[in-house]
Amino acid sequence: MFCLYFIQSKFYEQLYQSHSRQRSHTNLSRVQSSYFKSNSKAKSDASKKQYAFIKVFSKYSQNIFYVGLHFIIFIILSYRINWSHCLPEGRATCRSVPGLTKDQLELCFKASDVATAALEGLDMAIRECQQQFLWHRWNCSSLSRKLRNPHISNLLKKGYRESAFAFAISAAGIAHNVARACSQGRLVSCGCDPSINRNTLNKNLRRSLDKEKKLFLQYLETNQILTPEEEKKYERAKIASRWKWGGCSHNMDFGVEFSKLFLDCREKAGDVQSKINLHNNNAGRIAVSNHMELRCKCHGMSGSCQLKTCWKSAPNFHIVGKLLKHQFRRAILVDQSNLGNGEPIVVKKRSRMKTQNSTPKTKRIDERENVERPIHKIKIEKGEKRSIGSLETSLFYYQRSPNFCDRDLSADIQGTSGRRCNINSTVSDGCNSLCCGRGYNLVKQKRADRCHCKFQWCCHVKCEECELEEWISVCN
Amino acid sequence: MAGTILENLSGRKLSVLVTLLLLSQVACFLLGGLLAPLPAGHQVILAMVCKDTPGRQNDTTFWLHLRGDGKCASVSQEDIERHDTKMANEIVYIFQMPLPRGEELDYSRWQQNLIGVLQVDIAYNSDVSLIDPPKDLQLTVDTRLAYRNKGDRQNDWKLYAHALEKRYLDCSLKTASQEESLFSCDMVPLFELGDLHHDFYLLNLRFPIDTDMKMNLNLGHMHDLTLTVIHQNGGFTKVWLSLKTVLFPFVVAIMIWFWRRVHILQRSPALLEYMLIYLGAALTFLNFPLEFLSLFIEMPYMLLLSDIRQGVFYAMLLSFWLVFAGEHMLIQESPYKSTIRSRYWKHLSAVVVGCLSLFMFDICERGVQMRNPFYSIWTTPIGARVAMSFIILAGISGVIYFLFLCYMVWKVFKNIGVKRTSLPSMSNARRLHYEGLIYRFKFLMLATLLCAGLTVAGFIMGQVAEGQWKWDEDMEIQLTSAFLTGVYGMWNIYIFALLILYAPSHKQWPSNSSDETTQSNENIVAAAASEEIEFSHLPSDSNPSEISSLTSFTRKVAFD
Repeated sequence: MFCLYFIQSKFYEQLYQSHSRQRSHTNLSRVQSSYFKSNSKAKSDASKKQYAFIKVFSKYSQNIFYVGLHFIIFIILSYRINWSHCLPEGRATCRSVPGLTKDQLELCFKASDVATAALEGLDMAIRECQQQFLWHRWNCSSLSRKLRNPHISNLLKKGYRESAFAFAISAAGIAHNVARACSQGRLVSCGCDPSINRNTLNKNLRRSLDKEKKLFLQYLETNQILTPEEEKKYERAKIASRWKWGGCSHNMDFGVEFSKLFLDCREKAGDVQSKINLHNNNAGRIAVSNHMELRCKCHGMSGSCQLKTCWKSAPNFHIVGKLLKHQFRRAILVDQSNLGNGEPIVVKKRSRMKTQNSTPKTKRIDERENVERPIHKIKIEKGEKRSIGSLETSLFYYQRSPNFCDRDLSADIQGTSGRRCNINSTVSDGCNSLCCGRGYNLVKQKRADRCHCKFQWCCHVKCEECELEEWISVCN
Repeated sequence: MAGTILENLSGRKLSVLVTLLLLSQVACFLLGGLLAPLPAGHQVILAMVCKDTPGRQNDTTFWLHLRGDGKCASVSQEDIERHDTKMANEIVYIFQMPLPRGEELDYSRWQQNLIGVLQVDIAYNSDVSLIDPPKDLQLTVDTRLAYRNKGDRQNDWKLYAHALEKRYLDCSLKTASQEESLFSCDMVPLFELGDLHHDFYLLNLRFPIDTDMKMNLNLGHMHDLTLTVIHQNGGFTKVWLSLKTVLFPFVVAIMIWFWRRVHILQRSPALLEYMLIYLGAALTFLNFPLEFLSLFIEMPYMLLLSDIRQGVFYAMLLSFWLVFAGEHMLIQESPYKSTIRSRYWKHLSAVVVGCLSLFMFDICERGVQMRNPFYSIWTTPIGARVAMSFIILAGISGVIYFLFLCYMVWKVFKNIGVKRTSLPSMSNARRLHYEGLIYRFKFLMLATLLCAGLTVAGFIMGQVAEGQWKWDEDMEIQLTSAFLTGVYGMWNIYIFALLILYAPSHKQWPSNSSDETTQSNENIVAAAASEEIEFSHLPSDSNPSEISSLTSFTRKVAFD
C-alpha cells in the first residue's frame, strides 16, 4: 500500500512539473501537429514538405513532441498505475534490462506490462534483423549479445547504414509488438480512446491540459490531491460507456505512440546524430503503420454489402523487415556537419552519387536550392525520381560503414569468421565475399529430425527419427 | 381511384407539406451524421495458445481461458516453432471477447449481434517441397463457444455452441525465407450470433490432425490466427431504435387516418388504396421497434427476422410501383374492378420469385445459424453453389422486374402523350379526370426517382466513405451512419407522403365548373355515347362517391 502511494505521488509531482513547461509550449504544439499532418498525408507540395521536414530538426519541436506524447500516454496510464500491484515481476524485467535511460526506466515502472511487451518487441526486431542479414557480413548478432537491449551496442552510437536499420527495426518492433500484445488481450492499458491518432493529437493535448488545470485548481482549493479512486472510477465508466457507444480505436495507434514514448526519449541531445536517430525510429514506425492491410466484411441484409465494416490489420513482421531492408539498400547519406549555431544544417545526398560526384546539372540545382533556402540545403539528385515525400520513409546515415570483416569488440563488430557461407553464390552471401578472402572450410553436419509422422485425433503423434547429413561451408 | 388530395391541394399547401417533409428528411440525415457513431465496431483479436489438458479434449464442459482466475499458461510462438511437430494435436487456440481496453470490457445487449471472421496465416517449413499450397486447402476446426455473465465466477464458462467445422482456405505467398515460407489466407467466416445476450464470450479452437481421416494434413502450421469480431455499435442501435420508435406512431396514425378516409366513401376501396395500406403495413412492420425486446429476451433469430422485415418491405414497395403504373395506364381493359389476382399476378411473379429465392437463401444461411452459429452455407462447395443459384435467381427476377417496370412506365408515358393531344376536345369532367391521373402519376414518378436515386447515391457514398479511411478521420460527420439513417428516414417519409397525398379527397370538383357542366352536359352525353366506353368504367362511376356525384348528375340529365 505504501508503495502504491509512493508511485502515485511521484506521478502527480511529475504532472505538476510538466504543467508549467507545457503551458508555455501550447502554441508551439500546434506547429508540431501540422508537421504530423503533412507527414501522414503526403498531400502538400514539395516545398512545403521540405519545410515541414526540416521542422523536425528544429529546436523546440522536439521537446514539445515528448511532452505532448508523454501526456497522452500519461492519461492512459495514469489509472494504470493503480493497477500495477507493486509487483516485483514487472519491475524486475525493467531492472534486468541494462542501459535503459532514466525516462525509460520510469516509463517501464509505470507501465510494466506494456514495457515488457516493448522489450519483447525489441527481441523480435533483433531476430528479424538477423533473419534479414543472414547472408551479410554484418548479421545483427552484435545487437543481441548484450542482453536484450540493442541500444547499448556500440554500433548504435555510430551513424552507419546498419545502425540506421537497427534503429528503425527496433522502433518498428516495439510498435508492432505492443499492438500485438494489445490484440492478444495481454495488456489492460491499451486504452480505447479513438482520439489518439495523429490528426486529433492537438485536440487531445488541449483536453489533457484542461484536465490538468482542473486538477491543479482542485489541489489549490482543497490542498490535497483529489481522490484518485474517484478519478479512476470516472475514467473507467467513461471508457466503458465509450466502448458501448462506439467501439474502440485501433491497437496500432497505441503501439506507435508507446514506441515513440519509449524510444524517442533516448535522443534528447538535439544534435544531428540524435535527430537522425529520431528520424530512423520514425521511419521504422511508418514502415509498420503505412503497410496495414485493409480488410472488409459485408454484413448487411442477407449478408449483402448494404453494411460493410473495414479494418486494418497489421502486416506480418517479416514483411516489415523486408520493407526496411529495402530502405536499407536505398538509405540516404546525410552530411554530419554541425554548422551554424544550434540550427543544424542537414544536407542529404544520394549515397550512390558520392562516388560519381555531382554532375553540373545537379550542382546547378544545388545552387538554386541554396539561394532559395539558405538555411535548409537539400541536395537531391534530379535523375532519381524519389519524391521528397518519401524522404520520411527512408533511412538516414552519416558514416560510411566499415567492412565488418574483422572482429573488433570495441566497435561491437563480430567479424565473419565461423560464419556459414554459400559456395555457389557470387553475391554477398557467397563465400568469397562473406569470408573476406580468408577462405573457408567444408564441414559435415549431422542432424537428427523427426519425420514420417503419423497423427491421430485424439491425440497421438508417432514419428520416426531421421538423420540428415549435409555439408556446410564455414568461413575461416 | 377517384380524385386524391394531391390534385385538390393548393400549391401553397403542397409546398408547405413538401418543405416539412424535406426538413424531417434533413433531420434524419443529421441524426445519423452528428449523433450516431459508425454502425458497426470491431475488435481484432490475436489467438493465444495454451497447452491442451490431456484427456479432456472431448469434454465440452472444459474451458481454457486467458484472464482472471484459473487462466491457462500461454505458449509462445517460438516454443511452438522450436517443437518437432509444432505441438500438433497438443494446443488450443483461445480467443476471449471482448478485449480489455483500459479495463475489462463487456458486451452490452445494445450491441445486438456478433460476427466473427477468422484470418489464418500458415507457414510451411522450407524442407517441405510444397511451394504453392493447394488452392482449396481444407481446414477442419473444432470450435467451441462459451459465455459468461458479469456476476459469474471468472472460470465459470458455459457452453454456447460446439461444432466440428470445415472451411476452405485460399492462400497466397507472403514472404519466403530460408527456413519457412509464409502464406496468408483469405479470411473465412467463423460464426454469427443473432443476439449478444451475454457479457463475455470465449472461443476455443482446436485443429485436429489425423493421418487416417486426412484431416488438416497438408496445412503446414499455424503462424498467426486472427479473429475479427464485428458488433453493431451500441450508440448506433440507440439512435436507430429511437428513429424507429419516433417514426412508428406517425406512420400508424397516418395509416388509420387514410383508412378511415377511404371508408367514409360509400364504395369498396380501390386496388391502389389496398396497395397503399399494405405498403404502410409493411413499413409499420419494419418500423416496429422489436429490438427493444432483445434487451430482455434472448432472441437468436433477430438477424433472420430483420432480414425478413426488410424483405417484406422491399417486396411490397416493388409490387406497389408495378400496380401503380398499371393502374395509371389510362386504358381500362376489363369492365371489372381490377384485383391483384385478375390483372397483376403475371406482373408480380418476378417480385415473388425473387423474394422467395432470397428468403430461401436466408433460411438456409441464417435459419441454420440459429441452431449452429458456426454454420455458413458458403463454406462447402455444394452449399456455395446452392446459395449462388438462389442469389442468381433473385438477381434475374430483379432484372426482369426492372425491365418490366420500365416497359410499363414507358407505356404510361406514351398513353399520356396520346391523351394529351385529345385533352382539349374532351368534356370537362373527363379532362379533369385524366389530368388528375397524369398529375398523380408524374408526381409519384418524380418522388420515386428522387428517392431511388438518393438511395443509390447514399449506398455508393457509404461504400466510398467506408473504403477511404482518411475521409472519416477529418470529418466530424459520420457519413456511413448518416446515409443509413437518411435513407431509412427517406423511405418512411416517401410512404408517409404517399399515404397523405393519395388518400381520396373529399372535395367537390371546383364549384365554378358546375355551371359549365350543366351547360355542356349534352356534349358529355354525346361523348359518353360515341367516343369510348371507358368513362363508364371509371371506378368512381361504378362505385358512387362524393366525387362521382358530378357524373351521376350528368347521367341523370342524360336520362331525362
